[in-house]
Amino acid sequence: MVHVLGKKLPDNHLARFALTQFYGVGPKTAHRLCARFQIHDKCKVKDLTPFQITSLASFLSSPATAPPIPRYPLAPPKFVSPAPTVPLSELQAKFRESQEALVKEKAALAEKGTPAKEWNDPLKSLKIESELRNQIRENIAHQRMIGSYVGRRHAMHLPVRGQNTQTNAKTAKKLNRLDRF
Amino acid sequence: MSSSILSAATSGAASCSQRSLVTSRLLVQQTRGAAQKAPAVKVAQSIGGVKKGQKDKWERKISREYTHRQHDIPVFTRMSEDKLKLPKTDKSPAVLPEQFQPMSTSLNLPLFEPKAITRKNVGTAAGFDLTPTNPAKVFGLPKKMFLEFRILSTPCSVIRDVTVETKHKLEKAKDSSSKDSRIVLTGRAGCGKSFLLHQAVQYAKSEGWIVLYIPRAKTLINSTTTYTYDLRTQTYLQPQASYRIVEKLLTVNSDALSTLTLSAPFTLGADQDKSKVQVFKEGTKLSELAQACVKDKSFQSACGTLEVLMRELEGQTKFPVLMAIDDFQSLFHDTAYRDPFFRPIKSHHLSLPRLILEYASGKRNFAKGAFLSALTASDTQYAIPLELQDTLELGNRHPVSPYVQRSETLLQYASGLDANAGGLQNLKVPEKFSVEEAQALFEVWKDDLALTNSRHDESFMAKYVESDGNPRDFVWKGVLASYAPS
Repeated sequence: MVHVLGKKLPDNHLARFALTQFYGVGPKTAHRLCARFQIHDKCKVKDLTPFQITSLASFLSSPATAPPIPRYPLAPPKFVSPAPTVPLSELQAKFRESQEALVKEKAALAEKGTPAKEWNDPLKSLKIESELRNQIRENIAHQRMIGSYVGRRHAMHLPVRGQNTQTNAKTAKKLNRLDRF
Repeated sequence: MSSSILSAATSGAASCSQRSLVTSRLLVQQTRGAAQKAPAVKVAQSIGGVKKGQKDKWERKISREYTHRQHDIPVFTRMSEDKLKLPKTDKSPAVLPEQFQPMSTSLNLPLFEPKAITRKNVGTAAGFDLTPTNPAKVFGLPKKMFLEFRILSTPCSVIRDVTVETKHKLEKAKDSSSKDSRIVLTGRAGCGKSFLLHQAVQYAKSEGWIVLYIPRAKTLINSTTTYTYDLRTQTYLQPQASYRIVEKLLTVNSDALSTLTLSAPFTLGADQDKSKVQVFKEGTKLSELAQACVKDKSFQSACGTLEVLMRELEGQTKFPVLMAIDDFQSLFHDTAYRDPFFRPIKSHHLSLPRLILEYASGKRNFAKGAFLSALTASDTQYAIPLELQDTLELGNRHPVSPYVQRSETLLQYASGLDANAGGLQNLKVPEKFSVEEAQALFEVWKDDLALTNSRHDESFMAKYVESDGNPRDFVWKGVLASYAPS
């Protein structure tokens, strides 16, 4: 049993589905999260390494401030791996240098006025749990403040999106309110 | 006294489903007799509490916990007599039919051994031996073959003329590099490619080859085992899958591996935890190296060990090496694994599929041995890709536009990276059984009491024609799917 950000992830559950326990994380986001931390589809929560669990927890605590993913090179067909005598630290140092060179290139392009197109990471804008609930509350409050139809419907506990009210508005009457969440 | 405790327990458990099951279990255990003597029930770990009346169902479910299933050849067990008896009627009691009387109806088949594979024996069935180091038991079987052997009383197959042809090819390959013997078995769905590959594996093992058999190559790419990026090889390593392959390689070929030795010193775990580094000197037995890898249950050393083992097997000339891959076409697809950017990882960027593709393309070769692979024509998820269809000249079922993009990398792997040396050989497995071969298989099922009527000749001809001689259809849709009481 692992506890991540206050949520209990049962050991025997697949990690990909256990992550959907978080409010704001559904199957698609969970799949992306697993890919990010190299968790295979059939990995159970008990099989996660401590490093994977801590990286997941630190990422989910603030997705917006997560470090960018390094673009590791992938071997072409005729690639020959360096001799075992070459230490891994040397290879990592070379990789870091190449990454820094890339960053400098991007900065130079941005100065010229032709910024390089950056990959839009969907997980960067991920909001979960209390952040997401706050966002929803703010959206409803904003609608009310500007005096819109949507705001009025929330205030009256009625359906917002044009559903029938003559019959069947039970969920809206139960849940729609200004201070939702 | 005990009954009042029981009633208290049941009412307590029923009224408060939120109460932990451990407390209610303690209350129940205070009764005397059978309940106390009963084995301890596993503590149910319910999430959010068990609903009223669901406790027994929940506990039964927990007791059927998943255990690691071995991909062993299943053992055939006969049904008990009570289940085989015709049910009793008002007029007659339960009767055991004549066919199921306890006469010995076990299949007495000759053993599948190298000297049995001759032109004279084409059209005879031969059974596989079930020793613990049999490749089928250790490496496993393709799924459809596994299901067939589950029903048969002894795992067996028919010796066909392609079997003899493959045997001759392997005899020639024994003394030459695997670069000259890279064969792909092709043919219609159900024509016997996997069976032929399996026969080749059994033949090679009996002849003393070192055998590496991967019966379901798609398990390497369907995201069921761990994967980690490695900066040294610039590929994604598969520690768990590599571990399993090293373990199985050791089990099947332990005799051969204990005679082979390391040609250069090897440091295990150099890139990982410095405290767990193990140095193997030149001259260490390969079986010792493999055993050290198998002992390390963290799978960390598996990738490095497998790499060293394959390099040593490439260089040695004492034993010919057979690499047999079923589901070969699945290695030409994007895998189900995803990189951190959520792009599907190509198969040649995963360590094990890349290893197989390198031997297939001739980039890496065994000094003595062969690379034998079989396609699976009936898999809809991993269909035979255009690159393989073009290279092996398989023909297209549907018209294909020349503008459809073929991946250059995959074309290279399919045709061989060195074009001068020639590419993969296509061995076409005949689509139909010959009548003698079909007869042999029919008799196997007949002797195993699979037929429901006694008009054997008629049903044989009918099923042979209905299935068009296709081996799989002949067995599954012909012999086993027909019910015609005499």
